Amino acid sequence: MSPFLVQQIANGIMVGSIYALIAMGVAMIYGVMNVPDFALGAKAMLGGYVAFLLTATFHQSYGVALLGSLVAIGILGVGVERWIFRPLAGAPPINGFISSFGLLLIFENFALLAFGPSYRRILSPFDRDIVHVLGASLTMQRLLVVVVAIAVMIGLHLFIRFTTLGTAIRAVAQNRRGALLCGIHTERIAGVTMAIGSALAGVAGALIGPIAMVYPSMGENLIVKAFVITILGGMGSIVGAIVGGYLLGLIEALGAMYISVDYKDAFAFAVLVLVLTVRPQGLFGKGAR
Amino acid sequence: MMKPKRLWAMLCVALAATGAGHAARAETFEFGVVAPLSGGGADYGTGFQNGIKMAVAEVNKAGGMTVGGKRYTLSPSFCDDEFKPDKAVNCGKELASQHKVRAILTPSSLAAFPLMGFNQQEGFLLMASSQTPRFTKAGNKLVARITNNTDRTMGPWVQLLDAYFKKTGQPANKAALMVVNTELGKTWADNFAAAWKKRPGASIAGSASYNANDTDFYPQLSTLLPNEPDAIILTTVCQPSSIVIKQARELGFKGAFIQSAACSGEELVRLLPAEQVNDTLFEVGNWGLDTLEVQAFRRAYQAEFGMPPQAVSGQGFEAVRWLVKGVELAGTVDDVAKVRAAMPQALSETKNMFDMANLDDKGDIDFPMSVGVIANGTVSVFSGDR
Repeated sequence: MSPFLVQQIANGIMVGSIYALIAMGVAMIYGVMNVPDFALGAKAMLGGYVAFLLTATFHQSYGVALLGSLVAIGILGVGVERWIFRPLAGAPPINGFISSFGLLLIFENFALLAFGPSYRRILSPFDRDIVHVLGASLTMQRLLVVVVAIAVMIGLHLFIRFTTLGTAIRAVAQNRRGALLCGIHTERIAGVTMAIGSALAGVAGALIGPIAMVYPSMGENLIVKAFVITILGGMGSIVGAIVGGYLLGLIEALGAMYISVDYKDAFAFAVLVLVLTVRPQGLFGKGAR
Repeated sequence: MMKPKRLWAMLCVALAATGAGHAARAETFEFGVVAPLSGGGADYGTGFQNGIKMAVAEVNKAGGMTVGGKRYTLSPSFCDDEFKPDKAVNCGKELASQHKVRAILTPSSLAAFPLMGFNQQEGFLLMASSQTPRFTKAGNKLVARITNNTDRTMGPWVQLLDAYFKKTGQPANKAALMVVNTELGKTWADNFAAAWKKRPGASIAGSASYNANDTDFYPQLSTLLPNEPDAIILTTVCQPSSIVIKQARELGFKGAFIQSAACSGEELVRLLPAEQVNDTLFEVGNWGLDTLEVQAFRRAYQAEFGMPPQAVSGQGFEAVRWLVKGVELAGTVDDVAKVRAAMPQALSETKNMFDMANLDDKGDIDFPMSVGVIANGTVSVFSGDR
């Protein structure tokens, strides 16, 4: 296999991992709370800044920075659920939709005010070494993105399948009223889901930070792609988010190589239109909600 | 109909307000600055803004501008265009209609071209650090460049590059273009390609486009590097360029980088470690010659802002000095046509660190260019046989 093809596939898998993490957050939150969280891209950006602060200002290791971004943005998610989405629980769904947009703007402008517009570099010890796999050059950081993303996906899967809390989340996602009737505290589940979804975004930002740098508007492109993936994979389907994320990463990489690198960002939408024409509920969707 | 007392009160307030307005206008000369203060161009735009602030402080400290016997303090209004053309338009419209500025300064073609769409209607002089030839080819009567015109300077500059490569003996036949998605990027790249191909044995080995706000260039580089280029050509400001350089080195690229004037080499040296940035050649005006004037400016800037200036900071600085001279010579702060008419004379009377001279009718100036070289982690200038 041509090393350049391997390079593009490697690029695609790395980018796909980031897309998948955020799309998983969107899917989880939508599945349980029926709210499309547009602020997840901005949360990824905040996760990136948390990692930046931990490494640059507090001189912690990159590992601590990753953990810190996960925890900090997870807590942010709990707060957002408690004070923004919970009061909107009885209101029309459009209100949740609009408030998540509002959050996106607040987070971005907060970051702009607090950190300024310049791009920040997160120093990671993994960004120096380069490995060669089948002729492609990969920094350890890029490998780490894929490894951590997959670890998170496996962890989340085990959690959802085999723990009581995970089962409760699945129950609420399937049928909120039924779950309530079974004695599940749906509001607490919403909080946990937001925490997990936000933590996923936060760690995504910390992972991509050393590669793509951290800046206030970095979440914009991420959230647009995440939404394309969620729709592509089926709203509310975590498996759909994962498959869709990697699929999109690969389509962009291979499209850049074989069709045109100039239209790289457009491939996402071209694929979306194609898939929705044939299968309106998305690849793994269960029909209109 | 309102009670007469109320009506009188309102009229008095209105008169007082206009009176106050007139008094304020007689004392300050406002001009606009449209520059990227956030996003990928933030460092570049802030550098430009700071150069302007320095010049304004200098002029105001010396008593301000004298026009028709009256004293004016300079009062710049800055607007962040986020390095996006639509935001630049919003900035321009606001500055023109609400602040009624008679001049707008901008450091990039990205803002200059949209602003050119309405500067004559709104009546403001547009001074831009735009290398794009079209800036002076569209018949706009109220433009003035504060940098080189790439049509005029590219040929001689590539010949200078050629002399450099002959001296070092390094391979320099295949060039891969990283073209930023702006008119300047495309024009500069086209001009470069045309001049490059005139060299015997030289060719263009691929071209990829990118946005100045992008940060991951593996897709583009993965398509260009298979062609084994001797040089990668960079066409935009330092922040994205530094990332391209870093990622190209990660992917195993060992050749040279050739950077357009949009980024001054010393910024790159600040942003990247030596082993990545060595073997970069960049387009630079007299800024690179580090004359006594430039050194003095550097010291003052560093003392004021706590960081080193870029070439574009110097351009902002000199643009203000030039504009002030132009307004003073024209004898009016309102008649923008008269100001424009006075600008050639004003330039010849404004000794500046770039040796800008000879403003012609179309808006072009002389702006000598050299080849900057980054080697061994330091910056020097190659002037050929000069």
